[in-house]
Amino acid sequence: MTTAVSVRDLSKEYRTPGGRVRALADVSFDVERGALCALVGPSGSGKSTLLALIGGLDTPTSGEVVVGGVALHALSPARRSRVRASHIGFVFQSNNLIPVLTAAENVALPLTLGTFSERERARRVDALMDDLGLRTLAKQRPGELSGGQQQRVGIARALVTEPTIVLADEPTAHLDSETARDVMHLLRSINLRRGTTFLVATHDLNVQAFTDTHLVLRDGSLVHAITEGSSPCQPCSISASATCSAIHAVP
Amino acid sequence: MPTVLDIGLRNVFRHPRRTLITTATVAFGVAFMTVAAGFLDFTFWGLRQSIVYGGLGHLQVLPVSLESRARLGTDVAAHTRARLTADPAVELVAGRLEVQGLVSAGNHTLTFSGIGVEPEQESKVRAMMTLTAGEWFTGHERGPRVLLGRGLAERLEAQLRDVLTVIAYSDQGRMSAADVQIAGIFESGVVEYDARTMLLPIATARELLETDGFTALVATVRNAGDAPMVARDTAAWLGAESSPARVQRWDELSPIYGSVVGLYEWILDVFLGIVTVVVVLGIANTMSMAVLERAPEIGVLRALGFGGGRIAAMFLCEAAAIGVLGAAAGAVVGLGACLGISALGIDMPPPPGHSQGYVAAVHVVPAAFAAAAAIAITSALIAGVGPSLRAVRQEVSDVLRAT
Repeated sequence: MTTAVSVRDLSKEYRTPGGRVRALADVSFDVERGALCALVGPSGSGKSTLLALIGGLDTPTSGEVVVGGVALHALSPARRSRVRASHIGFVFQSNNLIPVLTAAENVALPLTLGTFSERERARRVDALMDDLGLRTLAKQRPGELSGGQQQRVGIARALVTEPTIVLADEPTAHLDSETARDVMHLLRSINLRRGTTFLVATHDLNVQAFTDTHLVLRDGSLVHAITEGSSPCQPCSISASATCSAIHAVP
Repeated sequence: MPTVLDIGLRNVFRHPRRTLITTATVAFGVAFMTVAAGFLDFTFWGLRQSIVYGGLGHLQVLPVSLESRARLGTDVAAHTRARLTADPAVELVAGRLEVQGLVSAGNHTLTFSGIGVEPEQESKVRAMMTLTAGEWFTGHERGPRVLLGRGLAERLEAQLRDVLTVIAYSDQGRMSAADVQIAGIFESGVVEYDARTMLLPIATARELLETDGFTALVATVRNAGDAPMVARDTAAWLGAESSPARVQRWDELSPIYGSVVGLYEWILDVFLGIVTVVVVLGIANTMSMAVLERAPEIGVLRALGFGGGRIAAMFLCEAAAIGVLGAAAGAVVGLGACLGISALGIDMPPPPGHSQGYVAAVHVVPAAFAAAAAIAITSALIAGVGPSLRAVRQEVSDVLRAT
């Protein structure tokens, strides 16, 4: 397996009126291509910060982030934008669709940044709308869709560029349990059928049931890395563990 | 496929009421600019007309000498008249001979400022002059007849057809006199002018002054815009011929026109500045609200890889669209107001120093509409710059964390 994301000694500090706050401390791990990983931990543990750094939305205080072979931490904001457009998909806790665009237009939005032909754009959007059961909703505006439907559109938007990895930040946070389960079924299905790599930040235990591996964060530090069928391990020992095929936590 | 410009345009109609209010602000500004410019254009046109056709003409050929008794000789006047008349741009040429003296009626004797005129041509040069009583003289009546300014007639307590005695010093230094009959009483609109002016046949003026010269040849042109060109050409050939005559345009003879235009345009500029500031603040407020409300969307677009330039373009497009909508609506309202006001007419009081009011209209000035639209759209774009920059500067991670 090849590595989709590689994180090394990643730290992030914020300046606040009360002083410097360390949101992440020396986090290291790899995510292999095709993995469906959960990033778990309580509120304030650093999940969103870690996703923002992997997604190139923020710059680390120290450490390295490599996505699809590109060292994001070394790039300018403009270059990071271009990498995001081609390598990274995002699913947000609030689906954050553009209200003035139809479902199909929302899905197509990231493609406007690439050099895709009109035909290729239409093919990709149509294929995803079909795959995710959104065909009949193509011309609906987000306000006309249910929460679950909106989240499916958000997932289609994240997938349309066929990114190296999709980062999902609490994708089920605003959904009822049944819809949340449907959404996770969908992510799992896409992961298995398309081989898309997902890193899902969540504190929902039901979500964790759908993932291969769990990265457990606490107070900004990676405290456990658990792979399905294995027992929890300390990060330092996991790097050498043969059972963690999808994820390697590195000391 | 949607672009950020599509999104910007569609966002215009996202909050219809807010957009309506902002667009109405812009439209009001544009309508104000077009109506104000149209009213001023009418005012300037009216002032020009009253100056030119109140007796000044579009240009005057005068003796080079500024001495009070300087005259254009008959040869010079005839030659100049012939050349001017040959110019197709020139409408007419009227000769004048000014005479100052005393006028008596009954127990009253007053000084007067007389103008000997060629009646047929002069009546056209003075098309804006109002006869309040009587009629123009022809110069061919059995005895000499005159027109008195209303103020002068009142001060003399003279009535229509009364006979007056006019006394003046001739160019030869002799005192001469003539009896004239009042053919009519006029109002030029300027109180001071009407209080001392008498129009009399040029033949009578020549008898009084014992001269056959002219103090001025007054010319009007068919198209007012040609006046500077005709004046320039005339000055050129007068100079080339070393003529003892010079030419002056109406606006040089009446510098108050330039002063009035300058003052009014300054006032208009101040108002336009205020209106523009209101428009800019209105749109800036709306765009700031939009940036604030759409922070999550901005974050999403940035996360998807949209650069700052595209985000800024989206908001600028929205601001420009509001400007265009406002300009279009304002132009329609402005046009309606111009036509409506002109149809109804506005009774204006007499301006300072004038005896007559007038009915105001508002001209439709295409250039003013174009300028107002350009100002509105430019203002909208300027108003959109600040909010757009704020949108670009938002930290994406902060925005997404907040949603």
